[in-house]
Amino acid sequence: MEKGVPAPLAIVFLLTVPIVNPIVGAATKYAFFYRPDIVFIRLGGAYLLAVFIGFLTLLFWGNSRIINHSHSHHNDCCCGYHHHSNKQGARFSQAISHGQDEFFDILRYLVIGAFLAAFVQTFFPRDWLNMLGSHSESSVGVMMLMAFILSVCSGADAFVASTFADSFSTGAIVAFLVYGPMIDLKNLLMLRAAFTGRFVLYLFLIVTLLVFAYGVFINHIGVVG
Amino acid sequence: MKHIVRLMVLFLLSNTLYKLIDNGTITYYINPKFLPMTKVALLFIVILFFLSVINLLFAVLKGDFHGSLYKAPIFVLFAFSTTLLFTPQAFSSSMVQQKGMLNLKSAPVETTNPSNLGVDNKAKTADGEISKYQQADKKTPQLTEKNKIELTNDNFVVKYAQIYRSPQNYAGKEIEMEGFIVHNPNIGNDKYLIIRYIMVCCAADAQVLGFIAKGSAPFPDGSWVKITGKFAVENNQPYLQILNAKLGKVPDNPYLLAPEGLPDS
Repeated sequence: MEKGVPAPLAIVFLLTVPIVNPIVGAATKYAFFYRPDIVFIRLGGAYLLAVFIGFLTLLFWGNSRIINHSHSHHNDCCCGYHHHSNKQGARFSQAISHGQDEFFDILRYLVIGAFLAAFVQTFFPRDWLNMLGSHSESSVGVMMLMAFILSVCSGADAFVASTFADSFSTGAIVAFLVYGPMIDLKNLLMLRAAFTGRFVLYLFLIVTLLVFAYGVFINHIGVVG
Repeated sequence: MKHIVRLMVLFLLSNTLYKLIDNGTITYYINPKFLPMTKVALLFIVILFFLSVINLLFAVLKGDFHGSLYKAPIFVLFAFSTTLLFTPQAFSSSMVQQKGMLNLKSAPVETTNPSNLGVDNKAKTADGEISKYQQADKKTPQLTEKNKIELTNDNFVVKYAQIYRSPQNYAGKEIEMEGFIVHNPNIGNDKYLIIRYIMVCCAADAQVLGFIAKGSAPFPDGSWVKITGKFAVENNQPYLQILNAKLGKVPDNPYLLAPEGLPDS
């Protein structure tokens, strides 16, 4: 986006990349081999939702600045870092500082997110969530909450979702598979490092609402495989 | 000071990764197929560390060094310092309740008593559903062993999937495997589980695979055992009748790894 890609396009890219790719498609097919429709409902739904969110972002944010201020300084390049000098030695030194800054900016959020996700995975009783699995709407919300706090990568989350397949509705499983890669505890903190607080809040709410609606929709049209 | 703290973080991170790779315990946390990428990441971190040392020396020489802790990654330093306190460990049986059982056969079905271990729900699977999946399983090559099926680290997932997709085909056969003994209140007190963890990418996605065994457990929960049992199906629920059980030693890497694809995928 610092190089001029429009924000709505960047958001569509951000939301689709973790889901709409061959690796995730293959992993989902592998985990849900008995439900090939899940692959299409997941990847297709994620693509449509991301494009819709892109249009909404264009509508509501237009050309507003959504990049976090600390990442928005310019000098003579578009890398987002504030350079002090053009001398060769100084530029090398700045490149190292820049690399360190980027690394530690992300690392801070990654460590906090990983800590919280590990805490929940270890101490939050899974039975509590399973008990809510049978209800059409609450099951979708519960699985989205699960996706948010577990923060499992999109290449492996289908296997985790398959462990809930006996207890939760199809819409809830799909909501888990679509929501987690778009918004979870770890990437929400990392998004905050890159985007303004208001934009992260908007993205969090819009993705949550639309994925929830998508999951409930899947349940109501009665997709059962 | 911020630069000193950052150097300490880079040192701890590279030191931890190096030790994990060197003694093989990295496989407690990630699938070994990611080892080459982890080594490349370690190389970059080491390079960043040494370049940062040089950068810091130049800053000190030029008098551009500040003692402030402002924006120093103290929390990250604390997090990586914990690696000095704890020994790397694979999941023990105590995490089974928190992990779900990988579902290799059944589809979502109506159930009145959802369990966090999917095996229990198979008892409530409608007959129609079972036959549907058995029909879908026609493409899957069946196991050829006549009487005894040995589940090893290399074949466990594929053979387990074949057995659970068409359990009736394997009734009466003997199964030999290693795993943890675990009791689970959801399956009743007269049964227990013999389980293994399976990892796809990393420990965060580790799930449980295993069999229900009938009767009282020969050893306490958490024991690593080598068992031989007769596979049976009762009310559509597969289980093992244990014939022989021996205490064993937990292998260096107790995780099973997800194969690239199941037979019909």
